Amino acid sequence: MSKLKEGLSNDEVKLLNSMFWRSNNYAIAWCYSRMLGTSVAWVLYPYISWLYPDSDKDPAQKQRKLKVLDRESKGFFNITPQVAPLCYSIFAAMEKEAAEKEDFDVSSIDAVKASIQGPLSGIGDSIFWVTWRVIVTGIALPYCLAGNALGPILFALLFNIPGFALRYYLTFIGYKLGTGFISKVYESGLIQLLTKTAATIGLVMIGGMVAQQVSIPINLVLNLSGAELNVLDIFNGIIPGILELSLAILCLNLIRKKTSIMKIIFGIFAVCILGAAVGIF
Amino acid sequence: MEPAIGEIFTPMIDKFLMKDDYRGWTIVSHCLSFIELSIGAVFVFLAVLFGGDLVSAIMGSLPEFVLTGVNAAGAMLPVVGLAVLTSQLWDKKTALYFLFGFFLMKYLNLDILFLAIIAVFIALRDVFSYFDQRKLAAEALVLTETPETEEEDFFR
Repeated sequence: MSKLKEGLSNDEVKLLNSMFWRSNNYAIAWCYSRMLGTSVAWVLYPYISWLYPDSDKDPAQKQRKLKVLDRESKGFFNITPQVAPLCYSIFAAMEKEAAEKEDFDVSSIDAVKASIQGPLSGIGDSIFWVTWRVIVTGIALPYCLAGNALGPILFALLFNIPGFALRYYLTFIGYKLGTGFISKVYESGLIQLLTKTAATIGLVMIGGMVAQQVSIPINLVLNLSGAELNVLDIFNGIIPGILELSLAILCLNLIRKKTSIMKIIFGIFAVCILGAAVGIF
Repeated sequence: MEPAIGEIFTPMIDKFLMKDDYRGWTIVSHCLSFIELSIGAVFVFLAVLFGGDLVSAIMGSLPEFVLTGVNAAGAMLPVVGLAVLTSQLWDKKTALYFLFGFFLMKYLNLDILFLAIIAVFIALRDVFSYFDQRKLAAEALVLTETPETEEEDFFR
């Protein structure tokens, strides 16, 4: 335990502890467009306040703090809860580097955010929600079948104790990994290479996530003189997922043209409800 | 109806955050979580208390296309968050990788972990070529420097 906190200042240990407790509320302000996105800002808030201590008095520092919060809260983030603290503390470590070094490329934080959420969720889901949950169910089920109240309690304990222990350890491990690795990379002048690499991985992962998680459920069957044509099949016959891809590119262009995200979201709602009224969806 | 509630609250939450009003932000965020998590419970509670007819009557009072539309929007909305992330990484050369990931997933329906492994290999290729280039540059530097010193030695 003591080894875990080695080399960290008292402040940092306190902040990481608070990040662990906050990360249990990882689904705060969940919404479809960014899923757990807001939770990043929620978990990191005390840490970011610590990085910019004079933000009450110094307007320039306050501006920087708000910029960080803005960036951290608006991205898409979705991950297995048990491994989420690893990400939060890596982001914290990178934010620390960004606050200390003026020329730090902040897009590397988004690149890391985009690239690690998918694979970590893949590992976390298969360990916790596929393997461990089935094993624990097997242990607790005989008690439940016998009508023993111990069954559900045993299930909750066996499932959650390793989960929470892992969350606690990952908070510290992620922070050390982040600070050690990032500062080493920074000193050797390879930060641009890291940003580029992370952006490459991140973009491949985002492409994959768009293909996997976004769908346009068109439910329109045209009846052309007896021949039935499924519109979705026609589009997917051209290139699979061409509609989702066009939607993603359209959204991206709108965001790059600084259209407000709220307008895009409510635009999607309006199109969907109108479309449903006409019978497209 | 859940997709709509989150999107209505989120701009409000952001407004509090951008004023650095921590208290207000926390309260609104928790309200949203509370509402989202209690919707299901309220409906189940009403169904148990008054019977399923009432719940279906409430749902029936909304025109059906609204529900279908909102659910369809829910299926599309993750694209917005993902587009925000992409826009921060955007650069014309790397944009191709987005298409690469998309088509790989669409055609082969890979496990997300396997996609990450492929992505790492592609990125590693860049890393190796970077180091190779640096090595070549260093060697070129050595080559241009050494003859001079040899010559000097020779003339001495």
